[in-house]
Amino acid sequence: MQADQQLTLDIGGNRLRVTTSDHDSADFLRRALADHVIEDDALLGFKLALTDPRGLTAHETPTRRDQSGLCVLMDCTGAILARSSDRNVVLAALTGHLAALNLSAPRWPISRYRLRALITSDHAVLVAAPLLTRPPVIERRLAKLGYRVADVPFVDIDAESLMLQPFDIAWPALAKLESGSGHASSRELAQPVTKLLWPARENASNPSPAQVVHAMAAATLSGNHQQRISGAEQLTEKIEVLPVRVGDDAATYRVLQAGHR
Amino acid sequence: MATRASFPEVASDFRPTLRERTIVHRIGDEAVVWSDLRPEPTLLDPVAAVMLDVIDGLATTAELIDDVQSVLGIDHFAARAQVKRVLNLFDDAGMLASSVPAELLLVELRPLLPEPDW
Repeated sequence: MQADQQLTLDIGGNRLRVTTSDHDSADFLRRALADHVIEDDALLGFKLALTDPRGLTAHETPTRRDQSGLCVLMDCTGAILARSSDRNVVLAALTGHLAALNLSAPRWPISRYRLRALITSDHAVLVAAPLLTRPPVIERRLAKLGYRVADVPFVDIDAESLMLQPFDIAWPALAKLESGSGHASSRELAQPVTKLLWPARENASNPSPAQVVHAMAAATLSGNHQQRISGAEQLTEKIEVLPVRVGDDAATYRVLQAGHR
Repeated sequence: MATRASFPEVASDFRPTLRERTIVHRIGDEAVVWSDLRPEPTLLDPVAAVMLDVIDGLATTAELIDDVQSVLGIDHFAARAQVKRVLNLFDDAGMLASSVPAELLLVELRPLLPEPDW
């Protein structure tokens, strides 16, 4: 049985481990992120798993480097961030999550939110957990609707213009990787936020403005308490909140499709 | 070391006071508050949001219960339950002058040595 490759990194003072059963990916990351590789151990940050068409993992396939399988990127909670038969697409998705660790805290009126984002050609949609996580996002369904999931762990939003803030990738080899269908890199974020997908329980009424402000303030990662609530209020006043029923696997896509009409 | 100030029984002469360093944003008939003692904000329902105005360090809990009873038109026991609920909510949110920082909250305080029984 092939052992997983472990890669421990220090990026912007954040220590994390990336583990993968794909030796080619491990070698590539080790070279691309050579300045950040450290010998110490760290908590798991991300996992790249390879499966083959028969549903077996790379541990169980007879050949070590099976190119025909699916590569899956997961975070430390097991949430699936990307899936593709092209490992470069998955590595591109990982790149944004790693590059974000290098960012310093934004300055007001820009606030950082622990939210996912979907990008289109002319606007962005914020997505609150557990939407897009449980069940995992289906990239081709998003792409058919004209949306792409931003491959970043959080988003920086200007409270006045509502613009998402893009950021560059500092590592040349990783910056060259192209995002797959249904994915957007950190450099493609510059769109105004117009909607928020809100996880709703069955039969629950639409959230009140105060409920949305409370959730957004709690999801803010930067600024003092006053700024967090003020930023959340400004955002909530200007964007449309769309409830999406949790537990209905197709609900997210139905709401997005309805929003496009 | 401190314990959470819980209110299993509302003492009628207790005069609750709001902590000054709490940010309050009223939104509609609700409010979002954030105490400097807590890492996260708290959402106040309409009843709790109204009680922000009447908890002033002067009114006793007995007076607050009477106020709630007359304003909401409910009986004494229901009013008492509401006041107790809101005081616990405010304390959990770190909003009372008697609230303790989150890191000092304990489930139960045990004495290091048993008390002598003479």
